[in-house]
Amino acid sequence: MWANPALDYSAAVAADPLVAVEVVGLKRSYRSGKGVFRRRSSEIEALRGITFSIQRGELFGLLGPNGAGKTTTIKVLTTLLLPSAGTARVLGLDVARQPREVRGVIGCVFGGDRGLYDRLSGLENLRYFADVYRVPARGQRARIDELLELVGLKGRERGRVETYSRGMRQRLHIARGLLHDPPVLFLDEPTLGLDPVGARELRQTIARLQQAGKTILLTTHYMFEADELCHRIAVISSGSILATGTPADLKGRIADRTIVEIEAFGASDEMIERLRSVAGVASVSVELREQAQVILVQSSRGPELVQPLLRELEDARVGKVVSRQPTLEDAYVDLVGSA
Amino acid sequence: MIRVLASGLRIHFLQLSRSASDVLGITVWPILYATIAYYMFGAESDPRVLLTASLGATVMAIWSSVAFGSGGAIELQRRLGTLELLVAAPVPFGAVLAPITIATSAIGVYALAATLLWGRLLFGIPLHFEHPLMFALSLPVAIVAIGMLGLVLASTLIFYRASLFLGASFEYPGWLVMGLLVPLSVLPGWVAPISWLLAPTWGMRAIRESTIGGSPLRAIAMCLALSACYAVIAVAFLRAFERLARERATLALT
Amino acid sequence: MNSLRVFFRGGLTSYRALFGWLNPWLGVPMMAVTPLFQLLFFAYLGRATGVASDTYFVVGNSLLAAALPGLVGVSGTVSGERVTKTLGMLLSSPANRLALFLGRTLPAVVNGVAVSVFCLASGTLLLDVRIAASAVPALMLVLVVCAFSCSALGLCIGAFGLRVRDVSVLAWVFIPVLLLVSGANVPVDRLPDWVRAIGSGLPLAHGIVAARGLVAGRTLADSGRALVLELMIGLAYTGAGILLLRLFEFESRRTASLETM
Repeated sequence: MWANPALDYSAAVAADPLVAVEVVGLKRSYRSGKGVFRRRSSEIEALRGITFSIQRGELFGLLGPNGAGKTTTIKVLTTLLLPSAGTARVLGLDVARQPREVRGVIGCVFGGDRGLYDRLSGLENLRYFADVYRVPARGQRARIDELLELVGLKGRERGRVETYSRGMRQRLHIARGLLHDPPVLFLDEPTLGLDPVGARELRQTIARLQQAGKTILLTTHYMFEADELCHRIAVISSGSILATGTPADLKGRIADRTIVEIEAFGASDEMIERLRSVAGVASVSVELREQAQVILVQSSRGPELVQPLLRELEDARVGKVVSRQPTLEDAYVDLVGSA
Repeated sequence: MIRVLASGLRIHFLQLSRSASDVLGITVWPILYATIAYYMFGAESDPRVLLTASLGATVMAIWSSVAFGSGGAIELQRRLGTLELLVAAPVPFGAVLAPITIATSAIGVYALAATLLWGRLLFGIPLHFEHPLMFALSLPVAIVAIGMLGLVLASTLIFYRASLFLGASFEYPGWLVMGLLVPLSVLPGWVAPISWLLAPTWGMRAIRESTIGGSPLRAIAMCLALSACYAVIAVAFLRAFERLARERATLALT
Repeated sequence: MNSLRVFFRGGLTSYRALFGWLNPWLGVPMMAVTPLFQLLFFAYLGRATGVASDTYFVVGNSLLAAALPGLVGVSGTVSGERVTKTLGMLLSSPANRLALFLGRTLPAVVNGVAVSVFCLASGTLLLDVRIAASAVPALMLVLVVCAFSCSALGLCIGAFGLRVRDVSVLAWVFIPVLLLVSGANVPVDRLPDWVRAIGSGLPLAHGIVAARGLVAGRTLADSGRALVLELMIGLAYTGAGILLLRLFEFESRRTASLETM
């Protein structure tokens, strides 16, 4: 069952020990100023009151386009930002009022290759952060070895971080995030910028961590990643959650639809508009791929729609035409497009 | 907590040491100032005066490193991307930042070696210390004290984006007010009380008195007392910073 | 006529773009606070060591203050063209080369003179300095010539910057060197002969001699010789700089190495 984010069920889950992360009505605005002499400030609402919860041991995905508010959500949950309104709790601890305690039970991994001391070795970086995260001195060595093994950096740890590839740095970040064995992990677009092989290995590592019992919140804008890894997903756009549920639930929203994918060359905006007015069409989106336009038409009619569509595109050159079942990506496009 | 401080000091000292340009920067300038001082004092001066001038040049270099480094410390962590991670750690931010500023002070040991060696080899300044053990104590105490002043500087400048340049403009004034090379007796009277509030003044006095004679213990005690005060002030500012950073997000942590 | 426009407009734009002095957060500390305190530092050091009067140090350091915009500023704008990849565009334009690159030096000269004047004025107010009013016009001339010769050296260094990476390090190295050998603080007769010889080949050494003479009451005719030497040094560096630029331009066209330099 996918949950309607407008329903308030905070009271019900508040005392639930099975809940790892609980966010209720979270709002966050930024004030930005323009100009030096006459500061015109405008308020930007990054989060407009979002509500979701993550069960213990769950791998939860936060899916949305750039600027949707994913990173802001993570920053609030990792105590780097205070909420403007609403509450957020990790393992029952309030992120606003008990930041120190929260920091002790979470691990955060932000994407990108910054965040490490590059003139030092991977090992030295881990040792430093182990101290900073208050890992007891006694077990440090063993823990670091174990983590290096887990992320596949054993044998490379003595090299300077500046010689690491992006994938290696990302893996070192994961090791760093796990040093104090936190029960809850926040991963912000961890596979961004990685090559396909590296990304796949990273996803396998993430899946393994969840199987070991960790609760993970993952933000991403890759549909297939969310589909593959996550138990439940929340789709966020422009600061609001549009839908929450398992990947199957979300796909189910448009399960009755057929997607017709038409590869076209030179279809004008006018023609695309006419497609929208064809009977039974729910939505039309166009993706530009090199020379061709890929037109995705969602409708509740079946493949019989293809003929009327092609008639509207008579004056354009048409290549491949595919009629298929909806994927998570289509569900996402539908959600975000109609928001 | 001690472990966090020690570990941090080691890490940041290494991070700085492994940059050729940083190490070069902290050795070239004190050598230059020591040379200028040598010529200005005159070659026939009392060799002890020349030695203290060399040591003064070293502490000047340490102060420059701290003035630039503290203003830049936060900025550097921001650029490296580690600032967020350090703020999101379960230890107080001060415990993470203090080792950074002390490390920028501690690389002054390179300056010390360079200046003394230079003075000895080129100008024949003898390395004679009146109270060598006191000297060995004064130096680390002075380094920590200057680093703590740097922490205060860092924690106040952190609110300004242009912190690096503001920090840098404290360089020369610091040298003057702390009496590192120019004796305080030559400066206007109102400078003296200000200088007493600054730990490096006492640090330099301790170093000077262990070299040419005097009672460095009093200076060392003052140094330590002031360092403790600085710690308190810095912690207050850093708590405010963290609160504001979380509220406003304009003190962008990235 | 176009050359003149290229000279003024181009120079100022490039200077602003790459030097950014117009940002007050950067400009004020570096252009006012630091030179002023440097001046105070050495004046007091002079009092402590009994080397010379305040006037000696104020004049010396005021002229020295023109070194920063001249050396770092100009070398930065010239070699910076490589960074912004605008060098290729410039060299393929029909503008007169001389006007183009000399235009880079003009804002630095103005900047340098401004800083020097500021230092002289502040030094006179804060310390025990005596400057005869009649000496001021001639002194201004010396300031301009000194700022010019520093910028000229900056031009040379900048030309190297088209070939070598990190030339700003080279420019910054000259700052402490000048601090030592220009005679601003250390009387040149105390320096070893070979160091003094290097100093006389660099900007400022002769200009400072001329300035001090004027301030002490000598006429322009008396101090003229030193001033002319300073001017000639400036012209020599200008010539060398332009020659280098032409050389690199020619070579880059021959070996197609412009962007990779």
